[in-house]
Amino acid sequence: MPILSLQNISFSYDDKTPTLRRIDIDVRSGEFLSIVGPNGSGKSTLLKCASRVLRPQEGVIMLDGSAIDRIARPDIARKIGVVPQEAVMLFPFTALEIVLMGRSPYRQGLGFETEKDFEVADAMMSLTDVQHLKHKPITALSGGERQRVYIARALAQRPKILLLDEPNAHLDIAHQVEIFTILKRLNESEGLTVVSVSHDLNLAAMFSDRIAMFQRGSLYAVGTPQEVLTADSIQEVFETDVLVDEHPQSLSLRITLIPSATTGKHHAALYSH
Amino acid sequence: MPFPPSARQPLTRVRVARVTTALVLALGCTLGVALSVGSVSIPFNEIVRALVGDPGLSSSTKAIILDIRLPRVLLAIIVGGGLSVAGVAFQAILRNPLAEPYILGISSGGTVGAMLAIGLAFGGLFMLPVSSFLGALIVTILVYRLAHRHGRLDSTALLLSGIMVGAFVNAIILLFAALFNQEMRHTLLWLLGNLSTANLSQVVVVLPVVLMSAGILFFLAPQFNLIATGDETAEQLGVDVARLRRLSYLLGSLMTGAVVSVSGVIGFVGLIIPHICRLTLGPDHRLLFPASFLFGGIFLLWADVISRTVIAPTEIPVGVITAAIGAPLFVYLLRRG
Repeated sequence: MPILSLQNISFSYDDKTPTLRRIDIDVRSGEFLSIVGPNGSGKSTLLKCASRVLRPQEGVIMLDGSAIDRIARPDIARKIGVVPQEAVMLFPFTALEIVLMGRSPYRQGLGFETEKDFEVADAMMSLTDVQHLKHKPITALSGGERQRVYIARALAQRPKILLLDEPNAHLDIAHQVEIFTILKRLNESEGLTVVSVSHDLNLAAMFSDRIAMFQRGSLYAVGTPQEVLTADSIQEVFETDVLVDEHPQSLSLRITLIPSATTGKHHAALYSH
Repeated sequence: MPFPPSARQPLTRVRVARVTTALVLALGCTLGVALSVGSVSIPFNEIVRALVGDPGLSSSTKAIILDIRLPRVLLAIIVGGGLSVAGVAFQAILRNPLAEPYILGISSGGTVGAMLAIGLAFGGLFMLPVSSFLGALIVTILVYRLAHRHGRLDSTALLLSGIMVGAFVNAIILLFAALFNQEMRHTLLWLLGNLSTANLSQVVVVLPVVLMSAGILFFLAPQFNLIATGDETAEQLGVDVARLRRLSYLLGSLMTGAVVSVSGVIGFVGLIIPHICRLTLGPDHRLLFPASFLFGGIFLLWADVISRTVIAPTEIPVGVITAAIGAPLFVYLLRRG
């Protein structure tokens, strides 16, 4: 049984233009699924529907066998952790306070933190390498540091599924690889299901069990990286020529841009006028 | 007691208890001073004797303390505390540290409601706050709607709509004053905010409204922490954001309306107090709500003492004092971005 099943999902922000059209996708328990696609293809919207921040106009979402609409919010939060895209922070909560917020689905009343909450927060902060920033206000951290704090917060929820919206957007190369390696390790050792929206096709190919490719609100293809990330599909969906081959060392797919003869010429001509 | 921001530890029950106790003691001392100071200075021992009902005390001293000063200081605490708590709530749900009942025009909305009740002569002791609350609520909803663009709450639009709606509502207030043949002087005092007409029955009506609203908000404090970091994150961590937002508008307007019906428009308290508390105690709402309530009470008590003593026997409206401190702070916060 899939841990998260999206059945025939359609969503529109303005009731006119659909952002998602009849999406059918099953997330298998314990898999690492990457969602790829051009800007505006509905990837982030899909994640928001899956975490019940948005309600699709049509279709059903099943979490662990029950319709997500019927599950109480804190219960969802104990199963699904979300790492958002960069969020604006106005109030100077410290990194530790932010990570401890991930424990709130487990607390009641005024929710003062227990020993266990501190232990979990501590462990997750070590895992994402933000221990040393513990007492720093979140407003004083760099984009990449904040991102790692948000990942620690989502992990502190001890979820079964982790949804990430472009987790590498603000990270340098070292931390991109590091975060994906950590996610992969949790995925393999603890069976954490990972669903990640990604713009980096190479990283997606390297770490994912399956890839779902989106095009203008529809699911274009889903399958193993080898099945989905072909030169033809990337040409059709991203309108970009690429060379797809095998990396000689990692043996995973390698996608290289080919600057085509026509790319850029049109714009250069416009500019020269 | 407050940790420097760089080394602040997560909040504990003990710390909430400690800070709250310290502020309660400070409030008690301030209350003593406020009862003692005035056109007639009354020593502390006589204040205590009046409060415990000593029959040996002269009836004039008793009257000054129990009938004039006590309602006034109690009202100052409730008004200061209520406005501050409303400010904390609005700032969190609107995610804007400049939001507060006065800047958003909500206090003016309450004043229109109150004036309408008085002008149309249904302004009894209970109808006055109710009408004032409705005025405040209508402005809250209006400003919120105006500031929504493409499904998002725009911070700048929020402040601008608040200021514009407030200006428009103030014009209505002056129009009402002309239509209902109210004394302009009285209307002006209302617009500037003052506590000089305080009486014990007002305290009896407003106190439960403010305490109940502030109490409910306090018990929702963990949810305010989450919503202050973003709607989607809060939602995803288990908060029913739409419900919390509705409830906050309702309780914030209720408190503002009740307070305005007895004190007029006292500006900037809801800005100054939460800001100082957040700066010294951190942004955790489990401490921010009680600390802001108590500190707001202390602040308005002192502002009121200044307003009635600095050029005695003439009284400056207390709103003048709070604006003199608040307006520069607002500019400072705005420039700091």
